[in-house]
Amino acid sequence: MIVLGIEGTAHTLGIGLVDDSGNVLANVLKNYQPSEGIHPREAANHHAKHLVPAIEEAFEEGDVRKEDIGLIAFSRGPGLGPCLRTVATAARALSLSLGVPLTGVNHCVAHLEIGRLTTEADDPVLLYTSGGNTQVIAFSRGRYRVFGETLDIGIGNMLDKFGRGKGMPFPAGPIIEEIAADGSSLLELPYSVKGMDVSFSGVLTAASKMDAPLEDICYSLQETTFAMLTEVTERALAHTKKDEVLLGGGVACNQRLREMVDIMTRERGAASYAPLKSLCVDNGAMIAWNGLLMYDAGLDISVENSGILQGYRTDEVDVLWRQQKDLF
Amino acid sequence: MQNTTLKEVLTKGAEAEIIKGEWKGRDIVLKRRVVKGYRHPELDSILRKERTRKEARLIKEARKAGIPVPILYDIMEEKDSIVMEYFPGERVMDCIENGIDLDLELIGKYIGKLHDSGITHGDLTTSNILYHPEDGTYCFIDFSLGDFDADTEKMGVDLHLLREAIISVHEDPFKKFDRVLEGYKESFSDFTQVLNKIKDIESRGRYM
Ligand SMILES: Nc1ncnc2c1ncn2[C@@H]1O[C@H](COP(=O)(O)OP(=O)(O)O)[C@@H](O)[C@H]1O
Ligand SMILES: [Mg+2]
Repeated sequence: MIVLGIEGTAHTLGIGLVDDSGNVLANVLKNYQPSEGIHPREAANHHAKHLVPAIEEAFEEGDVRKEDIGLIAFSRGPGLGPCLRTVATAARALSLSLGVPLTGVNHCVAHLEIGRLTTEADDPVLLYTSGGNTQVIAFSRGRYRVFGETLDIGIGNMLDKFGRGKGMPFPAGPIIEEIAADGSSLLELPYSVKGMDVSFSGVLTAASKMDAPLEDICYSLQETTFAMLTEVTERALAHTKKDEVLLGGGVACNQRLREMVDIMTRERGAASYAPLKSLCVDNGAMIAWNGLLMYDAGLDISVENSGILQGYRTDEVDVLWRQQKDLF
Repeated sequence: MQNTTLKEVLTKGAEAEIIKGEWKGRDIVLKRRVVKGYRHPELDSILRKERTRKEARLIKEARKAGIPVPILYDIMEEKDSIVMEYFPGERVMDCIENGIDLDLELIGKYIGKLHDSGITHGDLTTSNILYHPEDGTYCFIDFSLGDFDADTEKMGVDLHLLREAIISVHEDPFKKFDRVLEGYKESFSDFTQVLNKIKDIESRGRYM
C-alpha cells in the first residue's frame, strides 16, 4: 500500500508518498515566504494554491499513480487554524474521491516517528525544535510525553524575531547560523533553564538591545540558547533513563545545535541521531508514515470526525502502534 | 574537606557526579558539577560556579525554613563541589513506579512551606525528592535552579514542573497531583494565585 501524506501546520506545505515497507517514494516541499512573520491566512492561501501541483509533482517523483494510493494522511494539528483547515479539506476530498481511508496525524509525534523509521533510534528522547514548537518528548506509559518545553516562545520564533529586528529576511535561523560562524567572543545573555523547561523571551530582549558586532551577538545567541536546549535534553535523558537522542524540526538543521547534542550524548555514553534534512523539517513523508502506523493500529477516522485540532497536544495521542509492537 | 574518604560513584545525574563517602564516621555525598564539553567553556564555568554556590545557600535557607534537606557540610567552590549528608532513600519517582505508598499531601505541605518562606526550587521533579521507606521521611535535593526572591511565576513553574513529572510517568497521575495540592494549600495561604499561574503557564508553552 502507498500512503499520501499532507503536511500543512505552518508555513510549509508538504506532500509525501510512503509505502508500507517505510520507503519514502516522494517528498515534495513548498515553502510560503512571508515578508515578515507568518500570516496564517496568506500561508493557507499559499497551501491551497500549491496543493494540486505539489501532489502531481509527488506522483511524478515517486512514479506513482493515484490508483495506487491506499490511504490519505493529513496533519491534524497543532498549528495555524487556516492552514490546518486547508489541508484537512483537501485530505477529505481525496479520501472520498479515491475511496480510501483517512488518518489525522499529530505533527509533533510524526517528527518522532519519521526519526525512528529513518535512523537507528529506537526509544529516543526527541529534541523537537522548530518555529512554533520547542519540546522534549519521550515515550512513557503508552504515550509520547512532553518532559520539557518552552515556557514562552519557540526557539525558531525567537531566532526569527531577533533576525527581523536586524533586518534579516524570514526565516532568519540559517542566516544567524552563517553570521555566527564569524563570531568569537561570548557576550553575556540570560541563560534560562527551569527543570526541563526553557524560556527565550528574556534572551530575545537582551540580544535585540545589545550594542556589539552582529557576528558576536549571533554567536552568543546560538551558544547560549542551544546550550539551554542541550541541557534540558540531557536532563530528560537522566530523568527517563533513556540513552538515545533524536533531533527533529527545522532548527535541528543547525550544525552547532547538532554538534552540541552530539558532544553531550557522547560524554554520557548515549547516542544521537538526526534524520535527513528533508525529513527533519516539516514534511509530508512523516505525516504519511505516521498515518500508516495509525491506520495499522485501527486509528483511522471517518470524514465526519476528521475535524482539525489546533491545539493538539503531543500526549493526547494514544500510541497504540508502539504498545502493540512492544508486546511482540 | 579533611578526613573524607570517597567510596563509590552513586550516580551520574544530569549535571553532577554524586560520590558517596565517609567523614568522621558519617555517611556523606560529594556532589561535583562536571565540565560540559558542549557548552562554551566560559559559560560552562560560570554556570557551574553559580549553581554550586546557589545550591549551598538554598539548602541552608530551606533548612532554616523547616524543609527536610541534607545537612550541608562543606562547599568547595574551586572544585565545583558541595559535601552534604547522605540520605538513605530512593527517588520519589521510582517509589511511585514501584507502587510504594507515599504521603503526597506531606510533600505538598513541604513545598507550600518552602514557597511561604520565599524560596523556589527551580527543578522540582520527582527525581529531586527522595523518600526513606523505613522511617517515612523525605528529603528535597538539587536546589541549584531555585531562587530566594520567589514570585508567583516562579512558584507556578515549580508546581508545573512537578505536575509534568507526575503526569508523564505515573499511574493515576491527576489524583496524585491533586493530593500534592491539598497539602500545598494547607501550608501556603497565597495558593490561589499560584494555582491560577499553573493554568496560565500551561496555556503558554503550546503552539503560538
Ligand atoms: N544527599 C543525598 N543523599 C543520597 N542520595 C543523593 C543525595 N544527593 C543526590 N543523591 C542522588 O543522586 C542523584 C542526583 O543528584 P542531584 O543533586 O539531583 O544531581 P543532578 O543535578 O545531576 O540531578 C539523586 O537523584 C539521588 O539519587
Ligand atoms: Mg536532580
